Amino acid sequence: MPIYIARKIGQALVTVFAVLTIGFFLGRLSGKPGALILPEGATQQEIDAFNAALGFDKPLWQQYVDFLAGLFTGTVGDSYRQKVPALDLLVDRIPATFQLAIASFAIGLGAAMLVALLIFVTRWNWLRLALLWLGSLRQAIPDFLFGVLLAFVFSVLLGWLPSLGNQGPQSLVLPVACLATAQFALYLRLIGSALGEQQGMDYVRASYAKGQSHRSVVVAQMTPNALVPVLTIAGLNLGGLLGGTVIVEAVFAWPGMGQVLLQAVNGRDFPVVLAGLAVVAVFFVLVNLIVDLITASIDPRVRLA
Amino acid sequence: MTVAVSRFALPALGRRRRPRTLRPSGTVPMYIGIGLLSSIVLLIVVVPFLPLYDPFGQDLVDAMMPPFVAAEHPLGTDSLGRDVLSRLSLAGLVSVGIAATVVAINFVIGVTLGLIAGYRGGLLDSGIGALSDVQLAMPVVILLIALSAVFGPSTQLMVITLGLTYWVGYARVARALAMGLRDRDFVVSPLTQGGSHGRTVFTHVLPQVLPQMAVIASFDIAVIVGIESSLDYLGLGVQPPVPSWGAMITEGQKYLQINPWLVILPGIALFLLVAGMQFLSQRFTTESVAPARKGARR
Amino acid sequence: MSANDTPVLEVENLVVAADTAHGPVTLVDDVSFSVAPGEVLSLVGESGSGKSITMLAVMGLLPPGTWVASGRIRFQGTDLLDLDERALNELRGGRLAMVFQDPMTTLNPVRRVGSQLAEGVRLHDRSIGRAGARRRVVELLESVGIPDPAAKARDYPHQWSGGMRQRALIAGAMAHDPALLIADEPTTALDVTIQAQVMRVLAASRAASGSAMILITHDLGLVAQVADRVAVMYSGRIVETQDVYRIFDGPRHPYTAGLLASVLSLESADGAAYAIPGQPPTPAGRGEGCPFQPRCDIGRDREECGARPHLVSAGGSSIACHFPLVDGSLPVGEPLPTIAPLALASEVKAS
Repeated sequence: MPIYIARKIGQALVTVFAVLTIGFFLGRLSGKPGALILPEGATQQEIDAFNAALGFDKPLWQQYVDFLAGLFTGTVGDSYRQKVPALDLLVDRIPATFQLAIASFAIGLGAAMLVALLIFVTRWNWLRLALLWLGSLRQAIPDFLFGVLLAFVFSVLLGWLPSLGNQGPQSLVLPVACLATAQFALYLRLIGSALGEQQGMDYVRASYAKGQSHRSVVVAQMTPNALVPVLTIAGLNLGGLLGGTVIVEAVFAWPGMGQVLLQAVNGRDFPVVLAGLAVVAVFFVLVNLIVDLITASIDPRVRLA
Repeated sequence: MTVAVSRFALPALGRRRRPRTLRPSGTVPMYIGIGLLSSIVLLIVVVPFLPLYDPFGQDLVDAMMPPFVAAEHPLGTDSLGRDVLSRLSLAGLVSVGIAATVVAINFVIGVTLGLIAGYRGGLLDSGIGALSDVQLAMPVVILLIALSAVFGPSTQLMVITLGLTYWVGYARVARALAMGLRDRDFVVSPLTQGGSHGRTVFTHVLPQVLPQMAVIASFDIAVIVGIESSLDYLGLGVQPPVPSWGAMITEGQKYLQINPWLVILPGIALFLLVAGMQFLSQRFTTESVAPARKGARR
Repeated sequence: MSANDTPVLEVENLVVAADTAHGPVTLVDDVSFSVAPGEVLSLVGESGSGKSITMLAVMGLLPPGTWVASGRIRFQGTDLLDLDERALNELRGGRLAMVFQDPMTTLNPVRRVGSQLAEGVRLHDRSIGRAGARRRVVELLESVGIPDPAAKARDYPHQWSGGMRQRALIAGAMAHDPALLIADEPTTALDVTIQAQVMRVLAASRAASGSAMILITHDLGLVAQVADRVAVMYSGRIVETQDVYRIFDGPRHPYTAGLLASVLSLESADGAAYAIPGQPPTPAGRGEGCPFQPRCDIGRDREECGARPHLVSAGGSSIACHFPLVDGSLPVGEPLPTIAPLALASEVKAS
């Protein structure tokens, strides 16, 4: 098991490093930023001075070395527009984004799990069909459109909930509802599928043959086996979750990373975006690590292989 | 022996007959899909020929007109007095055009890489597999944000990015098909007669693979439209003054209290296209992600 | 005949049907047999003959899409088909137990073996606690010869060998001294060398508890060693049941004779292997008459065999055939064309 963990951590570090390196070279693709950042009418001298200050007159390999050195001190570079480390601009915003992302994921997955188990134990086929149909409908509507609809109905028409900014816990409701419904639709289908696959397995039949009740078989025997493929796919879907979070932040003006990143796009302030990439990569890698660990704790064939 | 199986059924007890599974009729979704899609087709194809067609003309006097009021602006006008119906139509054309281009790129890249991976196997297969894993992990929104910060947001950038991102699905199917076909006689015999691998793939394997993939591709257009409008919403795709449904919703959201039609109408258009295609494709794709269950035992 | 005359299991006119793309078909077509307390009945037949499905029907484990269309299944006098899930669960694993073919897939791969067996123990013994169940599991493992049982119980299924798994599963099934144990090809998935070990364990467990057993197999050698009575199934029907000694010496149904010929031919001098030519009919393709007719040397051209033969029972044996063999040959007055095993084998070699 320790070897397994060590190997996974190693892979994680390599992935983050790769993302940062690719990001670095990506940022150098459009040449020197001076002309873009400085206002119109800036002289060539001012542009050159600006570029030099950011290290753009050094050879590329040296810029990369400086970049790596910077990583060790915990920075990916300074923002082009503001003279502060890019990471600092994001740090305050990270909690809000992850609050939204994690809450939506937890609620979506948790509800999907409970409902799928309920459907399996009760065999209420009508419920399963109704929810799958609704889920398809939700998945057919792009996240931003659904969010705007929610805002329109619950905020503008009914006035029950706020739809802009973060004015307290009620502000979390609509954004989370938007994302969590998509997560729910996705995972309900997935978990239902995984459980259905287990239902036909020999060990399930053998459990019934022992005299175990249906409810007990579903919960104690089938669920741990069904979770393994679901978790793996959940780890892969994280990317989609984060993308959706950025969009939902835009819809509801939620003060998370999304806003800062979009502003950086307009300002062509690449270091900020690179900092965002770094945060996303670390998050992604961390969560997949957790997923791997949970999978290993459920399935002994993984950790004892 | 194939047995129709309800995924949620228990082992059968006693003499009860197994209950009929409720399955929604196969053809109803298809008709719904056709219905929804035809309205979009009308919107995109017919509207430009109407005399009122003018997506760019501004008229601040008649700005923010609600729909169903004036004959020359059947769906009203936006904050700059531009005709909403015309803009919806052009936006639809733009979106479908972009999506078709993206899908075409995806198709070419995906099928090519998939065929190579499936046909040749070995290192090429592993390499392409690794590439697709990386692709799957990176969210498109973040990627486009990064690229837009470097090159500036534009339609071309979006098309290239989406084209390079969503090929994995096609590659996977093409690879599976190629692996299934590579040992078949009609593939092996040209090789033994001295044909090259490349030509064999092109003339023999490809025609078998194309029909299935073309079907998938056509349904993907609507999916890409959904993604593309999300990007437009964020300002990362189609740039003004070219209209797009996503951007129209961004603009309209500011006036949600005053004139919600500016959001509702593009929203409906988007929904009609994406949902219409979804309903249509249900006819041809399977419901679930899991592989088929084992049939009944003896 | 034992003092207790109520059969442990009595299957009467059982019909099991299944849904297919072309409508319902019959998998088990009016099957009747009984098992006396303590006896071993072996259910023999080719793949697809319906032997497993019959047993799954008894246990209430028919897969989705199949169901019991008619008939009775009486276990110690109670019709199992009238029971609801709860009552059935009281019996299953307790007085009525089953052992399956593949011990690897029968165990849940993500749970420890000991824990799974303990679950079976506690299901039918409410009073025993967790610790008591654990102790009982160790006892059970020891009784079937698993070395170092306390440590081994904490293993996961993939860490054990196939033979060990099957022995443990047998121990689990026998833990509550079932009146009837159904063993569905318990050794088919195992190495030949392990098979004997597992059969010994089965015999020892049965001796201790006096359980009756239904042994499903296509291995006639096993039948000869273990069974008291044999029931032969073909295409969803029972064609013959007979005492084990008599059936080997004098099969009455031509199919049984063919089966025995295909086994015995392996030992024949010329080394030719005999197999009954042709294939059994599919459930959908079964006609009105005797299902074996197309492959039967005797009945192929006879009109009477176009009508379904009834299962005629007398004593503990039964036969469903219009022209049953007598002493391995045709009934009075009719010379056999060719039915003796060696003759058939040479026929095949010549063609």
